[in-house]
Amino acid sequence: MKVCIARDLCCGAQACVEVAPEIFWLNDEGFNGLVDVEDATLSISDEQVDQARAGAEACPERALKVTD
Amino acid sequence: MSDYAAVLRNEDPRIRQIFDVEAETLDSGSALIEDPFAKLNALRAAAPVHEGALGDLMGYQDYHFSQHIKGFPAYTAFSFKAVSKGFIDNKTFSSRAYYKLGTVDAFGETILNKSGADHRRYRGQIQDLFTPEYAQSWWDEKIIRETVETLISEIEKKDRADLFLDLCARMPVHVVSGAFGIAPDEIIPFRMALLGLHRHSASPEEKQASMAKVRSILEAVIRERRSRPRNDIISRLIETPITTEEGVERTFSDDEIISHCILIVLAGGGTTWRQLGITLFALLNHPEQFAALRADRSLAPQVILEAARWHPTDLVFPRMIEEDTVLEGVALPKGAMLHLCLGAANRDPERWDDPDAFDIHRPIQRALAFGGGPHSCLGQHVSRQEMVVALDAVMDRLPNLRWDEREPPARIIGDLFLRGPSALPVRFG
Repeated sequence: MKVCIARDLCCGAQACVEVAPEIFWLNDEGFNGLVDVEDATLSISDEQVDQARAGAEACPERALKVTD
Repeated sequence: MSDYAAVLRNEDPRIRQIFDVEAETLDSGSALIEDPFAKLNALRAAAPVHEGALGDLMGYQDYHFSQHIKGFPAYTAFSFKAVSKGFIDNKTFSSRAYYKLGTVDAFGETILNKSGADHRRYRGQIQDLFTPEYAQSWWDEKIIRETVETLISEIEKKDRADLFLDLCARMPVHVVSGAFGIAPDEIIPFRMALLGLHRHSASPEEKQASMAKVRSILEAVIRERRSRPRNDIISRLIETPITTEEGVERTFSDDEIISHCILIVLAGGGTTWRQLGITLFALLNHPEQFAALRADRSLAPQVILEAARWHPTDLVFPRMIEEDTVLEGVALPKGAMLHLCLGAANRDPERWDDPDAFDIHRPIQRALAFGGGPHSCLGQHVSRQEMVVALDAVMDRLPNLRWDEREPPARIIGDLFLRGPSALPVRFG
């Protein structure tokens, strides 16, 4: 499974990191750190899926998507 | 016809009275500002952050915040980077400014005044009622379609109209108030009482009377929904579980529901009408871009965002500086106010080519019309859905839409805040 971010939707609300601090991190500007990852995608383990989904659902902009 | 549609069809002279940018600006004690962008561009070009309040820096003596900011040292951020940081770093630049300045004292405690995990716990629960999916399904089906259909079917009987008054003004106030559960015939009295809470020219007694009216309307709805829930936002807020800092699960108190109703209904009925007006103003002034949207309706979301980038209804938001810090090379002291000038940031040439041009075809990049960071606009997806549906109706039902040359040309006017068109006189058919 993986989680990816639509870079231009991230507005720095930081809800993802509040809800799923073990998966997401912030960059120096306060955006989800995935915006700096080359393909804006992070592989996650099966155990992390629920937390990643909760983080994605907390995003007011729906910038994060959990996919296969 | 529902009661709701019947109220919408009524000619209501109060609409003209409460939805009038010029009268409202002058009543607030502000000067009427026509085009602020030349000054904003010059200030941003000179430095990303200036010492001084926005109005003072622009040379306007009387403007909205002047009554609030006295006694506070102030700084203003102009560049996209500086304003974006100001929105995102909510620990350093907090929204307590609103309470410190006294602009929202009447509202009571809301998510506007919270920060960090505490803000997250409350906002997260309320946000579920304002997501893009919820805006496009529940809000759309419950009330947006019916509201727009009712209004446009009245407008299309004529061959000329003031779209600002007949469509832009009426739609959002009815959508947001009706969705919350305010009875159709109480929507306009409720609006007038909400406006009375912070009217510059109102006496303390008049403000108290407005608050009593607001509370009596909301308390009656809340009491009724607690015993008989309906398909509306107040019923949903009553059921919404909140986990406190101590980990205790509870629901919102009546006072919390009232304060959030005031905040959200006031904002929802007070911004979308202006922004939809600005969007139509820009499209009517750029017929070739209006034609492109007509030909490809999937452009609507980016048309709306481009209009909001080009001319957001609010050019500035205040923040409180919570600790000594440095923003884009400028030292800022704890206790001062930071004005985030999103109007200047949205036209930063470091981010956009030819930023003063309204151009629906420009590459999509996040602008700051809806703010950013933890307190980014809660209602923005509902607002955008309202605008998409309204634009569709205008294009579908008002053929050959054009300015009415017999009326004075429309202008965008207002304060540094709460801006919108003077009117949108159009002909069609």
